[in-house]
Amino acid sequence: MRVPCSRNHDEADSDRAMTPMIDVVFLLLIFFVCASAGQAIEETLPTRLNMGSIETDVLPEEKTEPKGDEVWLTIKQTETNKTIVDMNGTEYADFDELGDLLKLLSEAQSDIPVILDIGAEVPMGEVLHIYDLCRAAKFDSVNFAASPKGVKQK
Amino acid sequence: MRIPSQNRSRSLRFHITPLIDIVFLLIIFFLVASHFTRNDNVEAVELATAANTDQHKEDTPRKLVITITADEQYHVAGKIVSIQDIDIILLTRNDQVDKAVESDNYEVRIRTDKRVPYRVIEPIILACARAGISNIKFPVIQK
Repeated sequence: MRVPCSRNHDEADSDRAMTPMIDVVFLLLIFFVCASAGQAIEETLPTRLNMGSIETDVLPEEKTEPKGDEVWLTIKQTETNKTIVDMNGTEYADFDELGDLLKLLSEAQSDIPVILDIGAEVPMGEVLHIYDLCRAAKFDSVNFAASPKGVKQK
Repeated sequence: MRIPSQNRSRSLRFHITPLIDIVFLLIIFFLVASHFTRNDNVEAVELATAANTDQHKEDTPRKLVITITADEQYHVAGKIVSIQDIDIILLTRNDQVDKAVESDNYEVRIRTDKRVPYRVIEPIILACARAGISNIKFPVIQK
C-alpha cells in the first residue's frame, strides 16, 4: 500500500503563494523607476555675498560711475525685451562673445572684482546665465550691485 | 494496517502570508509618511540652466529654501509668504543658534523660475545681507 506523501503538496503551495508577492515587488520596482526617471536633477549655483555693511552715510544721487579697476556689467532689457550686457561702455547681445571676453580678462587679471548691475525687469534665467559665464571665467569675486532704495541709511 | 505517516519535515517551511502582510504594511507606511514629510520642491518652477554648477557639494545642516514661482509669489515650506515674512524668518533663525557656530552653516536657496524678473529676487538678497547670511545658492538644471 502506498502511503501518500504530503511533502510535495506543501512545496507546491509555497510556490503558488510566492507568485503574487513577486508580482507586487516587481510592480513597486517599476513604479519607483518610472517616478524617479521623470524628475530633473537640480544642481546649485553658489554665490557668496560680501559681508560688509549695506548701510551708507549718504545715498548717491546719481548712478555711481564704474571705476577703472573693476568690471561693471550692466544687464538691461531693450524695448524688444532682448537682454543686453553693457561692459564698461560696450554693449554685447551675444553672450558667447561676452563669455570669451570675460575669460580673456580673467586670464589677465582674475582678482579684478566683477559687479553685476542688473535691471529690474531682467529675467532670472538671463541673470544666472551671465553669472554662470563669470564663474566659467574664474573671477575671484562676482558681486551684485544693490539699488539705493534697498540700502539702509545710517 | 495503517502505517503512521512520518511527518518529519526535513525542509524548512516558509510562511509566505505574514511576509506579504509586512510588505503591504511597509507600503502603506511609506505612502502615509511621504504625504506628511515637508518637501521644499513641491512648487513647479522652470529653473534656469547653467554649466558651472557647484562641484564641491557640502551638506549644510541649516538651510532655507525660498521658491519663487512664475507669478512672482514667494513660497517657503509650501506656504505663500511675503518679503517681510522672509525678513523675519532670516533674522530670527540666525538668532536661535550661536553665531560663532552659525557663520557659514546657514544656507539660503533661492529656487526661482527663470522668467521671474530680478526685482523680485533683489529683496531676498538684501534680506540675506541684513541677516548676515552670505551663503546663497541658486538651484539650476545642469546644461
